[in-house]
Amino acid sequence: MIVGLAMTSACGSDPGGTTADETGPLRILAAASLTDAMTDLVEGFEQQMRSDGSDVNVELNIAGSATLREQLLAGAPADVFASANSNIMAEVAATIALEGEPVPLASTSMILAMPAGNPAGITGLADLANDELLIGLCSPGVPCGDFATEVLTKSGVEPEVDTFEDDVRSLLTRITADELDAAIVYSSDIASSDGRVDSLAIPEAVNVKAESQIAALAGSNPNLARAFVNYVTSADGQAVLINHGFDPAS
Amino acid sequence: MSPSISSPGVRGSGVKSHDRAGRRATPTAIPKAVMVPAVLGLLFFAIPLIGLAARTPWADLPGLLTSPVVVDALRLSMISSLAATALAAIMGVPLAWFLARVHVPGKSIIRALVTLPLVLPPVVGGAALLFALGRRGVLGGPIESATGFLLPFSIWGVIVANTFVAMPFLVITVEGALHSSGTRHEAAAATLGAGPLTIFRRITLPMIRPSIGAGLVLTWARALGEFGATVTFAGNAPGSTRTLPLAVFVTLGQDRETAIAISMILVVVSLVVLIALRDRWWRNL
Repeated sequence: MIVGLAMTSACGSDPGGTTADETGPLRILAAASLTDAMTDLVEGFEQQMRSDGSDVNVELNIAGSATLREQLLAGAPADVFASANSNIMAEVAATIALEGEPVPLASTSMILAMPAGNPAGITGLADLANDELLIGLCSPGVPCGDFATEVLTKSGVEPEVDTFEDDVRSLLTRITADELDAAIVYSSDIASSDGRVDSLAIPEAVNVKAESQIAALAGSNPNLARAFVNYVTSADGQAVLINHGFDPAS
Repeated sequence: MSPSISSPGVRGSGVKSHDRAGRRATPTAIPKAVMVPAVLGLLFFAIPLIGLAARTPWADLPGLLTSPVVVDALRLSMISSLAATALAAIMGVPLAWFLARVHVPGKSIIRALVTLPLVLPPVVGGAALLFALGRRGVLGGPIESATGFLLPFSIWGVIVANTFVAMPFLVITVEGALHSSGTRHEAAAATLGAGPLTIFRRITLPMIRPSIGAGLVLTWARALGEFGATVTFAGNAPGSTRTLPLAVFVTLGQDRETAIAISMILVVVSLVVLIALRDRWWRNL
């Protein structure tokens, strides 16, 4: 972190260098599961940069990781990409030039989410096979969908899915609105739901470690991008993620 | 979009400026200032189709179009769009008749309400349907607790979403036809002693039959292409709610060739519908 920040401030103080306002905003593309944490991380980063004497302008674009991958591959301008899994990061890295390697951002596990009060009386993963209940998952190919599939395969449950959502927050919204009876989401999502959902832990034996990754891209703001990645992986940044229900990056 | 499509058929019946073959008086000189933007406009519509055609794996098309993903989506799309068209016919024609023939105060508000889905983002329509007919909706809640029946996440939800978005096309087409056909024949039938229902069935409906046909085809085409309201209200699950447009959305990020193949079906069907309708309308002028 210190190296990155030092580098950016050095550039900032250099009259011909790349200060934030000369290179445009720092464009961050982040997975939907990171919505709340990333908003706080951006705030923390801006504060840190301000105390170092540079004013950064951050543009945060939140969507499903797969949607963001499509945007990146279609040439969307971006400086930082945070993916909810390593697969999508690898697919992006295969085409888009990175500024350094992708690094683990945080990790979490999968959990069963139900509307507040658990009106359908869900007791475990086996209930997802009940055709009478309204069950939602993330789409296959979307990180939360692939993690959920892994959990279901491990537990031998064949779910009767009523809807596949494009990102985990859309799925969680259907739970908070009581449109669905149960869904598999990230444990970290529960922290952001302010008690509007009930949850049920998935046994560790069939659970997965859902690790998100972050990378600086070789965009128009590589130094600032690296500084941001360094910040989120620093003790300060990790504290923000832990505060939002994530486990620290390994 | 729709008013310009419907106008030749429904309101232009008195205008004979060009015949069925499309011959018309060509101005002696075409001003460049008009032609250049006109050609740009044409290219603007043509280029995306060229892009799609260029990316289409023509040789693999038969295999792609018979894959289970496409066959499932096609079946759902056919059932839901035809059911929506049938619902639109049952409710939309009487509604159009009401708008054209019955004089009540505040009709412009009623007409705005009926045609609102034409301009409303479909996702807003889907959300509104959810708030009304979803499990916690003002109507959906009581219905579910009384009967156990729930529209969202089923093909019934898809049909409702399709009908909501597509029916206005039928209503405005038929209403326009009713306005331009006038009430002379209906009045004559009434003086000969025909009852109101007989007049509606024997005089009014036959008179506007071509427009009803055109409106139904347009309604079907719109229902076939419905995405936003469906995905919001009915959800997205293969075999129960994933219609062709939803399948494009899903496969675009995973299996682009399939997405392109489905897109080609939708483009071809839509083009055929529009060309066929145009032809029909010209004939009816």
